[in-house]
Amino acid sequence: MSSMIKVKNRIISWKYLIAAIPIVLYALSNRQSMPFFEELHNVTANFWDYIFMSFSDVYLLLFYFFPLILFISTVYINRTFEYIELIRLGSYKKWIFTRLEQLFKIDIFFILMFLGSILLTSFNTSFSMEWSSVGIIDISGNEILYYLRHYFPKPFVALVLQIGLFLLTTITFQLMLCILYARFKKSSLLHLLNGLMYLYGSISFKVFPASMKLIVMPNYLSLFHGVASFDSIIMPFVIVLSVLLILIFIANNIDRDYRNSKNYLMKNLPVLGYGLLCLMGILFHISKHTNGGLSIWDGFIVTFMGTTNEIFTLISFAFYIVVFLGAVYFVQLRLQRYLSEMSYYTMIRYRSINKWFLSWFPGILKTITILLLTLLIGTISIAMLKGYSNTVPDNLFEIIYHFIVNGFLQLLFYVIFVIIISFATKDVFKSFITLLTLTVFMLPGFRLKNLMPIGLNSMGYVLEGYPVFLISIKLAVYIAAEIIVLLYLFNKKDYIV
Amino acid sequence: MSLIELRNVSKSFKGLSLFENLSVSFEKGKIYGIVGHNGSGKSVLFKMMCGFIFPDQGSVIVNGEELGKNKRFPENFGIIIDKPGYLGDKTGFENLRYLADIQNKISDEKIKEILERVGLSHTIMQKVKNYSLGMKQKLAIAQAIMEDQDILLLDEPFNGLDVDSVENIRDLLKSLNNQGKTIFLTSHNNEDIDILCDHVFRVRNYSLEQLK
Amino acid sequence: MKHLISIEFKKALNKRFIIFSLALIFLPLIVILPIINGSYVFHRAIDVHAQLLSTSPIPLLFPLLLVPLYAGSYANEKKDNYLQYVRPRTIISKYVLAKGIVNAFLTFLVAFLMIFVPFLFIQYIDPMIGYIYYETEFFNPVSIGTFEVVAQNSVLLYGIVYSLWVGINGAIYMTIAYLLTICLKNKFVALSIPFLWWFIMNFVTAVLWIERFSPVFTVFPFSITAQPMWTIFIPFIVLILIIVTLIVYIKKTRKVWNE
Repeated sequence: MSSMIKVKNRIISWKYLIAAIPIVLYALSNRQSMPFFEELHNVTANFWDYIFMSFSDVYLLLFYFFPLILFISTVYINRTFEYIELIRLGSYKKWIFTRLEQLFKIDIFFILMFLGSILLTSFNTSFSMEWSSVGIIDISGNEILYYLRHYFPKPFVALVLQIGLFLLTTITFQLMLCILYARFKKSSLLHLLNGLMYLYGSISFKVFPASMKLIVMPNYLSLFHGVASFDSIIMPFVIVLSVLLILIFIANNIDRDYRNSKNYLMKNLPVLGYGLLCLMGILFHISKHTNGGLSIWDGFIVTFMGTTNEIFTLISFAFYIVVFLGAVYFVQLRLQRYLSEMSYYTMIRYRSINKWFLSWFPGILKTITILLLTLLIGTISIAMLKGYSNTVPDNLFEIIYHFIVNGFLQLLFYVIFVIIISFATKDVFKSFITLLTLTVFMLPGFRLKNLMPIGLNSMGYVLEGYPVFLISIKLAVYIAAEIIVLLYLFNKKDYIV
Repeated sequence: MSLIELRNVSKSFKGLSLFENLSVSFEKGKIYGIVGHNGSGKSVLFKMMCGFIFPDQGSVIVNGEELGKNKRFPENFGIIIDKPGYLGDKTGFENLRYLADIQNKISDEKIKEILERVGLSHTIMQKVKNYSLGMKQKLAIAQAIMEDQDILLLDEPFNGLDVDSVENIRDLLKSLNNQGKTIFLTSHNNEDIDILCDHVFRVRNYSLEQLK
Repeated sequence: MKHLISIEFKKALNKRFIIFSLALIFLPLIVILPIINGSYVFHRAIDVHAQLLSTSPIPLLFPLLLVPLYAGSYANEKKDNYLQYVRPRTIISKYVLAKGIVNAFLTFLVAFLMIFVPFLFIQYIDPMIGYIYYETEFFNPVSIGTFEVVAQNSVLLYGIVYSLWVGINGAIYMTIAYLLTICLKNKFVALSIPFLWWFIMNFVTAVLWIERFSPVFTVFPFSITAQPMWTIFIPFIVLILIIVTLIVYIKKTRKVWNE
């Protein structure tokens, strides 16, 4: 019985080697055309030209190799699903990741087979660690070598990244197959999906315009295609990785009770709503200035412009409030819980109110940091996708410093402010009103020479050349004063709910 | 050395003078009853003893350490103060679990054992918002004793309890006292005070008068 | 019912309410008028009035300013267990309705006066004092927005109609806040939702390029070119629908009776 299971679950089979035959034939036919090209353009090809002509060939990858791996993966997943194994593993999540580990081995085998097949057809070609002169020729039919040579200084690097991109994409799709199978347990569904992916891949390759590069399949299979479409080496990787992370998140939560998923969604609806609003604002600002000749960092500044003495638009002001005070709103919701009548019973279990405070406050700081980093990376990514240039400005350090450090300090000020008001008045709503009333100081005519610590993390200050370190000092002073007040409240004032 | 000592404590609360130059000490292992008319300051006294409120003058010393100096809250205190407050959308068990997770001293089994001891084992899956007042009170008692706290400050612990439950809780408090726990309780029911307490104090004339 | 309403008025009209209302009504005039006087070119009193409102925080924080008046009264009484003492004394639904009516009326009144009192001062009192500086040499008034068409008929009519409009909107937002405090357990969330709606809708309509339907530009249409009158009723109708939905929900789930 165990030997039968072993055979059934065998990951690699010698039969897979048959799949190498079409690759060898295709590679040989590519090789046939090269001498003519060399003569026509007076160039000399080397080993790498023959490798990449096939290894980055969209037709070979999209119409044969990738669908083949997915097909074999589907068969493998279906063949090896056993409830006995599932029970032993304990959860669908573990089953998915166990299966993925095995599929990874299949991927490695196939990639090595692919590479081996091409190497076989590349024997007797001149070897060098550098690109040949073939990649200099920019004509139709030579895009692969031209773009790869243009973006990558060394062909070995390009090969590693090509393997990496293909592997990442394949694993992402395999994870999706595993999740779907865990959920529905139907191999027919997976085969249907593979069929649809095949169709979609073809259509996206042949029909979709360049502006839809985000959803064009070949960009994530063939390195030259992805790099040329996005004009960036990292973007195809970032996008695939993002999808992979989302799928990992789904896989991690696949064992959840679906009856409670509605409650889960309802509970997290405010956060989703907030995320959606942030995304809307970012897309609005970035789309507004597309084709305006701006760099991604200009786009970033424009998005988080906020308000300054000289700069005020209603939409920038509104977006600032939505993003930054919206984040503080969630802190206020949490504060409400902490300061409920349960607070006596929780506080007494700590040595002091300080300790009680420190048991949950670092979590808020972590969330602030994650928020700022997400906004930064998200906005830059969207700007890149929208075609903003990658020009690095001279004041890049100031831009990032102001957004992250001053943004952190500003949010910290807001958060401690609402904690002080909520703690002192035992009414979180009063802190809500007070903080929003203070935003009046962001309006033109009310700024009081930037004395008030409101909206000081507006990116408009970078545009005006305002010293960002001065802002840090101002905010730090205000925060220090807040901490003194907070410590006084915690340690010297009576606590009564 | 006394367990809890109030030295020259004066306290006004919302403009009303409650205590003036109060000095009293409480020994370990006894049950103390605090009585007094409504608004006399019994709750304020408890809140001073566990650190939520500071005396205007004087000091509160617990186990030799003055509250508000190196620490605010004394250790190992189980308290019931004001009306019971909970997370209404969670079960009684979950409420206790969240509180127990803070110090992480006790297991789920211990929590279930405590719920059984106070007479709430049948409500283990019920959300607290659906509890009666008596059940909420029992839950309050459960959280006060579940971590084997040595000192219990129980403000009106029998509030809302039926006759059988009162009997049960009295037995529970006696057994805890036999284990060496020090208990402070307030009650408007003289019978509770008479049956349980070794010493009784009345809040009167801005001070504590010892009655028993 | 009349009796219940009069009790609610007595409860509402305390020192805190009066001070707060007076601050809302007079502070914009006292603080903002000196700032804008001389900084802008004014040809007409209604220009001054429009600029006063645009410069003040009123358009941005409108619902937030009105919440502290009386919107939280039900939530406060529920929290303090006061309602259980009301139940044996009257029909609770009538009590809650009376409270809602008083909340709506008081909010309407304060919001109305918040707009009308500065109008009266600028239009009728200031000519006697001569505090505001008007450009007399080149009479080239700029439209004040959607309500310009009313002002062209009669300035007083404009003052009354526009103040009524703001008052009604104020009452609607605070009625929503009040109804939400009945529907939701969390008082903070219930009272903050009207402001969140106000602000988020301003943002969303701007992002979708339909600013003329944003709450701020339909209630305070000074920073936008004059729109057809019907546009101001779109958000208004949405809010009415929300109120109707909330009332139906409260009745169906017997929220008040089952508390």
